[in-house]
Amino acid sequence: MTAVRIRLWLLLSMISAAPGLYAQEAGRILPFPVTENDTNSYSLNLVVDASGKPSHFFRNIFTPVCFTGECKPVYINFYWDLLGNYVRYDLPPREELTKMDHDVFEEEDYNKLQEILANPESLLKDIAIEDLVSTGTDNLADSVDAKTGATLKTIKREVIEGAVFTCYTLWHIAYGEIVMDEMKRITASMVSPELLHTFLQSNNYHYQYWALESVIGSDGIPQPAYWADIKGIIGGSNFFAARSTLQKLHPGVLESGETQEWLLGLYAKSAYAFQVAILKRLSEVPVHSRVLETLTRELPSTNQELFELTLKIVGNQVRPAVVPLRQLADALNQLPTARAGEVYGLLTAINPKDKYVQSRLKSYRIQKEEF
Amino acid sequence: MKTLLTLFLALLLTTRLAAQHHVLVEAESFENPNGWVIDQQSFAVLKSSYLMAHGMGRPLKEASTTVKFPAKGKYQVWVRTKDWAPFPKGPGKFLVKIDNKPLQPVFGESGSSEWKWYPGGEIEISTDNVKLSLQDLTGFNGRCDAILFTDARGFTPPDDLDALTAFRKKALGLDDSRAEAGKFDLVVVGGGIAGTCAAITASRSGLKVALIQDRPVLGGNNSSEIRVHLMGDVDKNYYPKLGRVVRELDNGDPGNGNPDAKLYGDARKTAIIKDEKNISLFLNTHVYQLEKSGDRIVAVIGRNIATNRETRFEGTYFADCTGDGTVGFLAEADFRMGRESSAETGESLASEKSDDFTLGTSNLWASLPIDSTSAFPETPWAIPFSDEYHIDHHKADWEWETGFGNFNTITQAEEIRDHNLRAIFGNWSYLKKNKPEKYAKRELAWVAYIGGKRESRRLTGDHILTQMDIQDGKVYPDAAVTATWTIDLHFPDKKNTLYFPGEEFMAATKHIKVKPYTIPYRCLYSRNISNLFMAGRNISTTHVAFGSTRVMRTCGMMGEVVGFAASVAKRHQLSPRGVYENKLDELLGILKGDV
Repeated sequence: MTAVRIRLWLLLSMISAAPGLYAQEAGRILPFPVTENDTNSYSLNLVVDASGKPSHFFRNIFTPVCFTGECKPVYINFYWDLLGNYVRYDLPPREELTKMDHDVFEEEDYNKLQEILANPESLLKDIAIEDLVSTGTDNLADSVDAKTGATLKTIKREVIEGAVFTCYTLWHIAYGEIVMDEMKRITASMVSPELLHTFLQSNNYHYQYWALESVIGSDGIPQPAYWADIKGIIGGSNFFAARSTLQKLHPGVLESGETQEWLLGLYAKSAYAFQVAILKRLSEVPVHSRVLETLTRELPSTNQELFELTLKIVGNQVRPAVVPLRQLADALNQLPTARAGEVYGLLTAINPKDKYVQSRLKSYRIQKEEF
Repeated sequence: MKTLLTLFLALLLTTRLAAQHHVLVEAESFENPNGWVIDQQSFAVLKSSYLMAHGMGRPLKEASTTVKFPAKGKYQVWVRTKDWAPFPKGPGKFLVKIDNKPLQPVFGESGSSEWKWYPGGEIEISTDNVKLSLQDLTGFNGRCDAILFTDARGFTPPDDLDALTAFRKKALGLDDSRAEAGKFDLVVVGGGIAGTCAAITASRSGLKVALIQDRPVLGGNNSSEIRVHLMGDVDKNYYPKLGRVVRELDNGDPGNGNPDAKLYGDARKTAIIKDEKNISLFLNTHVYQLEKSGDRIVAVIGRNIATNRETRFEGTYFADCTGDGTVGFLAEADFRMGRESSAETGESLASEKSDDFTLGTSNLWASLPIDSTSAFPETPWAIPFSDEYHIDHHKADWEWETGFGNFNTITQAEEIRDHNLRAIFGNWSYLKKNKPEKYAKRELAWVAYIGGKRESRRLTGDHILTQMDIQDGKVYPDAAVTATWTIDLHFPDKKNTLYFPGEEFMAATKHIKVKPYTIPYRCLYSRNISNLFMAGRNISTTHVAFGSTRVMRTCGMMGEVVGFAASVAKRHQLSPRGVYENKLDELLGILKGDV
């Protein structure tokens, strides 16, 4: 493939679709003209549902895909979410995709195309088309692995053999920076409390992160109207969003007894990594007695990391309540030697006046000396 | 066999009543492992192998053995194990049964990742022989090092490694029962591609060779246990004679982590070695000790990873093809581990500061389609995944990699493997549950439990290969092996770092293309141990140069050169360095095919 031919291909691929919609859409469609450059402009369509809420974007695409000096037309519809994340494709009625020698795509090829297009981290992102195919063909180049830095097998995973140009062209349309930015811009222009609630309550983590930026200030203070939604994310199944949202909050937000009880409830049913995240946050704030009691009660059965975090929480309290301290004192006899030593060290440092705690500490000392 | 498995030590304690007894059973020596596997990769740390229930989420059958007791009566039972994924409690749960009756505790869920002795309670022994068995409760890598029965009241077996090693050694009678393998011209330690090529070449050059491998199969990273394909070209040699043995061992390219074990050609490799009359092959033998005289290695001592029987190997020359540089380390050979600084080496690709960073270790895996849907257990102890971050593939490739300076590839080999397992099982559990359209009708077919290491120690030779040697295409007078692979230094994948900082398990790389270049012979022998050769990933290079030399066809050709060099050394009674100084022409003549 010569440089001239590549330029020609790029030029042709920029020709926009003929007027008329191929995608079947319910609801209202708002067209937005997009001009990428002097020769490439098209209509980006926003679908708005019956209640007037924006739903998703789509585009009817016609693009020539060129190889061996000839171009074949591809008609295809792309669908994106409201933040420009590719979702799926379909074909207009009676259209089909073909490979080299006009072999029609099999079902597995269509499935693979979806898999390829659904991968925003595809190796196709950073590869020049000249490096991907052998000159004048639609075959993977022999030296593709050396040029791209990936193994040939990895590259094969990213393309459909005999349709390398098609995969490459379509991927770059699906992830075109201009169109993605345009979708974000359009959505931002339509932001409303209702949209923010919808985003926060959705299962789309892109939506959640985007909305969180609006509803949690840079100081970590959330807007009260969205607190229930935020709690939904922290208590949700996406561990990563849950953790990062919890980490983002201002410590003051976590000081109320109600919030701490809620966190404790989450702690009991959470995956381990999130348990660690919860304890780390609690170590930054004054913790209510009942919450502390629950944590110290579980101390004998926790693992080392949770054990140490629990002790840190207790140690960080200015005036820890007496019940958790008594529980710690009771644990002196149940814990393995090293852990008991740590608890003893902590209680000695706190040095509570409580007689029960003091008597347990004394017994522990005597027992140790005798041993 | 039974006598080996029922090793006991009768300790005559200072009581007037009776002799007291310790009966130590090494789990790896069980007569019927029934699918439980032996792991020796942490021998450097544990001084023992252990038995593991690698069931990929399906509980295995019971592993069992017969234990012979020296006396009837009451015994305290101790079980040496760990909770391998204490987050907060791991899945590696198992029961210990005596004559089919389980002891009270469930083992492997202590919440502590340290190997320790755990009390199993008291049992009454009323017959000479009892059946001891381990019942896997989860199929998720429960593990057991040893079980001790003792009638010494109040006795607690030692957890301190030195004390435990001494106790174990005495209980197993290791020093008294060591076998002599004999004296060899060349003792090759490590049966990966490099070691196997070294042994074959030396054998065909007339040397008497011992080939010692610490696994039941040859091939190392290219074996069916690890399943990495062979890379590096053998057809661009400066010396066309090199690469012939590599070709013999090459079983075609099944890619990385192919679910079909046979494609990696274990049987082919063993058959080739068995046909070599001059090679004595010792599989399942882990070398962990050696004897020296001055700057020479006199003998190495290996322990069978299953039976724990020891064997001593005397040699004129030794080849360290262990990958970890184990022999060199034991012999106090000079070595490097980690990255040099660019100031130190002058390499543009070197890191700014020297550090402990090494390339990581892979545990590859693969799934296969099945004709009905299946489920996979929840894995709360594993690495968490979600719609936002998961790896949407039905098999692994090289990118599944842990290490990168977060873990030491030798002393933390077990943690690295376990981290990989937590990634594999956590991700697979996520895919099965959340992407049924793609994964409901797939099952894990294979998950490697032996880590495929990339980088450990690099033993220092008379020459240290550098990036400049490679990129400038320097051809030294002792140029030997031709290498072709890119400078391929892996680093943590950026996105993986974002989600798992300091705990990465996915790699990325940037291939720096090179023209075919040569590795000097002086990189293939130790500069301070006078009879030690090396071949494979532990040869004398900088970290940057290692990024290119480390691939297995290239390593195999290093082995071939070592085999030829050992034959020249023997013929003239020279050291490896002596061959360079006095008989380089002869060695190069062999490589050219003149001889």
